[in-house]
Amino acid sequence: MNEDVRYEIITGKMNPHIDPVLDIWQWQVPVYLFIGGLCAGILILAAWAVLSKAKSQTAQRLSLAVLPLLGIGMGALFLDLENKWNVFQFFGRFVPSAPMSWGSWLLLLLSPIIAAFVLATATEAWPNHWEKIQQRSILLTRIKTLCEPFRQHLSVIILIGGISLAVYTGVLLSAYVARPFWNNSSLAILFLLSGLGAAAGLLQLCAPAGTERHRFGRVGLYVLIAEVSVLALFLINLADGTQAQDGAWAVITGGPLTISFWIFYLGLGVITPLTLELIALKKKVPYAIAPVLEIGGSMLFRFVIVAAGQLTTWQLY
Amino acid sequence: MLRREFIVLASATLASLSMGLTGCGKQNVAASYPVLPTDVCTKSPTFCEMCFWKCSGWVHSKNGKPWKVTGNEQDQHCLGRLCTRGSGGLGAYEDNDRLKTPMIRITNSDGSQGFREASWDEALNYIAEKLATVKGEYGAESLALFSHGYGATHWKTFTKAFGSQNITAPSYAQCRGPRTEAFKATFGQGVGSPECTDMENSQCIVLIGSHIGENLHNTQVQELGTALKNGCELIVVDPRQSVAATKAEHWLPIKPSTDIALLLSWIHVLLEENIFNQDFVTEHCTGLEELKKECASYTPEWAYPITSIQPDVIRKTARTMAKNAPATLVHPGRHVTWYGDDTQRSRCIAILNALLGSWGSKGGLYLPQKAKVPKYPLPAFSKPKWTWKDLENNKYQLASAAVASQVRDVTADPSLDPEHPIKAWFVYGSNLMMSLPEQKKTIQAIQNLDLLVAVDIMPAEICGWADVILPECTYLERYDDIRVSPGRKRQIAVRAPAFEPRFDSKPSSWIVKQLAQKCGLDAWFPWANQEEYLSKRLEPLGISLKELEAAGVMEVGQQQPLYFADGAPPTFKTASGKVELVSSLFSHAGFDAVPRYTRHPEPPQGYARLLMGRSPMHTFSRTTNNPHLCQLKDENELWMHPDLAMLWGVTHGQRIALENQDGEQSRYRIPVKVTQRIRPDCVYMVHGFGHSEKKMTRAFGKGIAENELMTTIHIDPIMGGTGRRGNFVVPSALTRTEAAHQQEVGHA
Amino acid sequence: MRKRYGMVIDTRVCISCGNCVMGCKAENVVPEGLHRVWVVEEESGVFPHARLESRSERCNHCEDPPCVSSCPTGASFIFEGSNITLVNPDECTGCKSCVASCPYDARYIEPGGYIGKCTFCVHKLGSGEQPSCASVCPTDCIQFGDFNDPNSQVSRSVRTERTKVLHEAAGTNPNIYYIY
Repeated sequence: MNEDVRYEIITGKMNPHIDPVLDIWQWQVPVYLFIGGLCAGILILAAWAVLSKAKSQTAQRLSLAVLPLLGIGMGALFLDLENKWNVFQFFGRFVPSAPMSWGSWLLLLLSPIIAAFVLATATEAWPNHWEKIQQRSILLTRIKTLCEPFRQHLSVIILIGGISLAVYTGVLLSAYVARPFWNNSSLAILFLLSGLGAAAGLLQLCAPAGTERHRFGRVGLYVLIAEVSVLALFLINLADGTQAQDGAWAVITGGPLTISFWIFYLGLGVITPLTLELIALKKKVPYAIAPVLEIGGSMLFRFVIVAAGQLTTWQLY
Repeated sequence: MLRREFIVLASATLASLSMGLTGCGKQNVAASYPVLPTDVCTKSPTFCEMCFWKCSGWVHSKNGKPWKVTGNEQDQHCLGRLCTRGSGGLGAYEDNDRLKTPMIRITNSDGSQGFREASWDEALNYIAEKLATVKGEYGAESLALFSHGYGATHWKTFTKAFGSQNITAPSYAQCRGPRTEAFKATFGQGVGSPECTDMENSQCIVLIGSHIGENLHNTQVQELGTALKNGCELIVVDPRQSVAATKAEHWLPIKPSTDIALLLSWIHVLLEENIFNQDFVTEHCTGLEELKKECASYTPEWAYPITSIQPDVIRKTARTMAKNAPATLVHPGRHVTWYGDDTQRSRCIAILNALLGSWGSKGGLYLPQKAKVPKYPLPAFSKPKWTWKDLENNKYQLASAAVASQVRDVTADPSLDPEHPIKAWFVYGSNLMMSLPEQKKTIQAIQNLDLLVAVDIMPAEICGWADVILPECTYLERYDDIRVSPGRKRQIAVRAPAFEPRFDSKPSSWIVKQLAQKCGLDAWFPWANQEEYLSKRLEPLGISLKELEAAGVMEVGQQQPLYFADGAPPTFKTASGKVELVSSLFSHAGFDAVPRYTRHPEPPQGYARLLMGRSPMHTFSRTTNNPHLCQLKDENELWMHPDLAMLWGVTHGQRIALENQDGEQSRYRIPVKVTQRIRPDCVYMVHGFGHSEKKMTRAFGKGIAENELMTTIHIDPIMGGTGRRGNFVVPSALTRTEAAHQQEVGHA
Repeated sequence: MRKRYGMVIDTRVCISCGNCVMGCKAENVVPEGLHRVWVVEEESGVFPHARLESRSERCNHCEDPPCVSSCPTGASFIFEGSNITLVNPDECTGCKSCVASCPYDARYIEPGGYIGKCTFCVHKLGSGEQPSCASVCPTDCIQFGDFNDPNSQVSRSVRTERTKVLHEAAGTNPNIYYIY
């Protein structure tokens, strides 16, 4: 029976930011999620550079930027809070069922480890600068000396921490059963890959011409291939979903985010850099285009996903 | 999952309140609580003035600040439950758009007119002087009072003391007048207000265009709910599927204006199949044979092409009514001025109730009780030389109350009745611009006045036309007269002020007394204040005002049986002393003794008939600016069938302006509601929106006032009722641009 | 014994009058423009066989409330000994995680920055009173009671009447049933 049913709020409701569609998270949350993913990617690649034979000075140098970047990301999140005075409440207790609580504690615990990691790897990362710093700060030198023996251990923790952080940014959204667009387990992997892709892109841009730049171009290519595959799973899940997810599928098929998703994110942010990197395997192309698109795509992805999820609800009116 | 640890606070009060639940956990749940054990809560009695039902309730204050209004459990008008408007009653008090001080019309140096704030003394002196002039020139009878609401008592006394009986209200000829006259002609008495409908016991209820539920007549709605839960069979006749119709066993989407044909056909079936209540009819009724003769030809097959209701549906529903009789109620409705033959339609309803034996029967219409509270002893009023009865040579001879629209008409056009000039209006609590049809005539009438005094709480449109505006305080800030109204019990109720009047507003009891002093009419206002007046009225009942205030509602006098079966005496105050199936009153006055169906004009090609109704969140146009209620509903919408929407090329949610058959355009726009719940030949909107007074900041410019589009009026010759449903609309060609509209209204 | 408070709302007698909305706003002094209760009309069918279901909706005070489990600070909590979900403004950061987690979109942002919602009028329950929406409903279509008490009116109604819950598949185990 294909009968027209119309739902109408007769009275009440129309609460600001809740109705007619959720509009609780604007730019702050996607910015936070993007920076979180990017930082996670940098940490993973930097840790990998320490642990593997494929050394990368750029990755280790960029890990210095992680803490300030995370500060900016958390600053964005702070701006989103409606009740800013209570921000310390995030650390009042640990709530195992709440991804946001995991995230808060993860970031809190990870921060000193990131600092230790940066110090432990500083000699290779900044061979020329370190001499000068050493002369100025005895304290820093002492801590560095303390950290250095644990260089390998710290790298392993950073690797795991980085993966956790990237996955967390996805789980944060995918845990919401109430938002059919988000409620998709591949979202966590997508966020991990997207974060990794952005980090690879950034490293590619920062690395000096030669092996390192070439290597991160390769990493980017593999990540993009993986991203396309997981994205396919994500979309199949969405299209093939429950009744509640029909609405979610509609958001990017004819809905308000159709163009943003298919043209800008998938077309410009994924397929184009992917194609460019593939071409780069055989021919010479300007190296900066693909990584810039990749980073842009990764950022846009957060914006699209955060917006799309809020457009979906179980309510039928 | 997180469970909070339960820690009982030291406070004994809190513990006693808690009963294991209301106590505080570790966390501060105070913000989840609107009231804490430390708060001092008080309550005072009132009866609601948000509509005319006058439910008794309690006004609650928290730490001396207004909190909420709830129903009085003992009150038969509300059974402890107020309605949406009543629950939002505090909004009337809180509204900052209220009239704040008396105002007097002035002419500026550039010739333009405006208002200036005035003291009460100034304003009342101005009125007293003007009244004296008018009285000297045209006689005291040239004062007319238009009123609505319970605060009007003293204004009525003033008008009579002044020497005029021209007291009128749109609630008669613009609303329930036809029903009153029809039931009086049939049973010798009207159904009153609240109506004596015994819905809670009904096994079958028939609604003719009455949308109970959308019109939130409190106890009727409650009783409809009870009836539905008890399995009562509901038959709803309405071109639109009202909320009640969605609950109905039978929804008869009748072609508008043909109700009489259906009702006559039902009468025909009851008589033809001999399924009417023989006992009741034999014992109490006259005119059966003549009725049979008159209705012999009104077969369902005759009614079908007129009404579009299938013959078998007509028969089936008639049998349902008969099967459940006498616990079948054919509801008399309330707002019944539709097509100009409304008294006769109401007569059909009365006849059906008679044939079913519903009158005086359980589940039909009970015999209402009313407390006897002696009037305050006052000197006799002088007899006026003429009254509203004499207007236009007693044009509406069967009207039992003054016809507001007629009073307006003779004011507008003195040549209609040069002998009886009306030159001054007091308008109390009635926004005549919205409540009287043909706004242009109302404006014309106002131009002819020497004095127009508007007494109101809100800056309603009528205030903008007044010479003097008097700001009354709300029902929450004043004493009023004792509520004595009919019902199953003989109850009285009191309204006491819960708060001090805001701004410079005053209760009518004070205003009128001051004015009377200035007019030399002190003799009719001998009390010091309203408390003294009330105490004096209660004295013979042996009740003190304090006692009544403590209870809110009290029963007074001996309970009498409600039904004939329980021993109520079958007295009918008709000419024959019987229930008149054939009305001798009507035939003597030259009207049809048995109703007949007449055809009414139909919409021209492309037009749809404009129907109107009520929103449960609002009363008339009085509450649309209420800060609470406007949150619940701030705009009306235009219902239309998808076929009509397609014909008009409009879509759901689109905002359109309308134009009627006379070329009159709506001032504002209204969003379209495309729905399967209405016939394609009509559109529907609720009354009360489309305010043009900017001072009502929340209501201004929202929705359409159907009154603007109801310029063709069909007048009921029997009692002067103004039928407004013969108006047809199309989307307006729009002389006003969207930009201009935006500029004026300031919102989308 | 733990209370499982809930409602059985009879859509067959609900008339969409909105008094549940107004009664709630008045009782709980809900700020302007915000609502804890709302009324939905579900219209189906074709003229003249159109059908209408009128529903008064609010927080379902679910057995498995995602708003509580997703709250990172514990500000969103279950009232001891019951299933009533409340918000503690002193712990609420206004992160809106609970808002996003509610399949009924029943929460909103209070002007104070914390999250507001239906409380089942928990302050009235101790003295045996009904939540405001139920106590003002003119057709008495909102029954309130304890589902853990097999003799309560709500338990009996669920046993004897045809009922449904909204968005069962969202898996929150809601405690508001609708007779339809």
